[in-house]
Amino acid sequence: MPTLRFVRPEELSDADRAILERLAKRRGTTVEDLSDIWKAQAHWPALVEANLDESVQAFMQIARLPMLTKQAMHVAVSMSNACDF
Amino acid sequence: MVAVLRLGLDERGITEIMAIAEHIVSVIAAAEGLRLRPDVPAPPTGPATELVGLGREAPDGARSTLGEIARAAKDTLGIDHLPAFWSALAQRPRLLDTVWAKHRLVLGAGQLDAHAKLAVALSVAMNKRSPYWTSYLAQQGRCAGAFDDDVILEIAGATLHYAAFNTISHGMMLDAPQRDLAAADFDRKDRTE
Repeated sequence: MPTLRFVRPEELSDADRAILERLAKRRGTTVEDLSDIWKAQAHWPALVEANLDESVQAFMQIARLPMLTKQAMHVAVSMSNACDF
Repeated sequence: MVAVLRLGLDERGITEIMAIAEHIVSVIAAAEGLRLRPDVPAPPTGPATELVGLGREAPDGARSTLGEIARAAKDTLGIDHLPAFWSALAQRPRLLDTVWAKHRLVLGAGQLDAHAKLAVALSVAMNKRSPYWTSYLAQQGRCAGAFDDDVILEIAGATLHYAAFNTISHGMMLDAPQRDLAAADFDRKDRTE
């Protein structure tokens, strides 16, 4: 069980909700159905935006490495960090 | 893990990834535990930090494997010296044999090709902050033609992202979204999208 309850969308300001809606659109989902990894940051939407921008540059953007390689790296690093998420 | 299943790996492929993670973590534990200075591509300079002597003559039982490693070092690392990690293990020939055999097995091509496996291994070495294995694997990737500065930076950037999100999930104690995944849950259409 998460240590902190997830923020409810109606608790967010319009500006903060707009950040989450941009994220949800990019992920092909709705604010309500975002992954918990994003919901866990949503009490501070500016952090969500910073992490989204960072993840696009660091991970999602295809550069030289194929996406399968990057996803395999993600699994291996998560395993080595004992992260079961 | 869902993503790699969708991209075409099955349970064997996931196990290959797990093998890289556990093997690299284990050799990091030994290398950093022995306080080995990075010696690939160039031998270290400055004061020694190693907990064991590396200049001792290897026992007879280690000679065959050390010869194989020396050839591999020339071919895959582009160096003429024996990496300290293998020199250190040589004092225990059976341990050397088994670790070397596993190293070749784990990093050999399977469902993931050898270049992808080197990228995965380097990412784990960076994440676990191993100067020894980060240097070793980066050089191996360069020699294999898999890495240049750009690719190494891409791996570092991706590792940065994984470390951040692993910390978020740990810190917030998030539950894993899936359990008991099976490759069969992902049909052919999903796999090729």
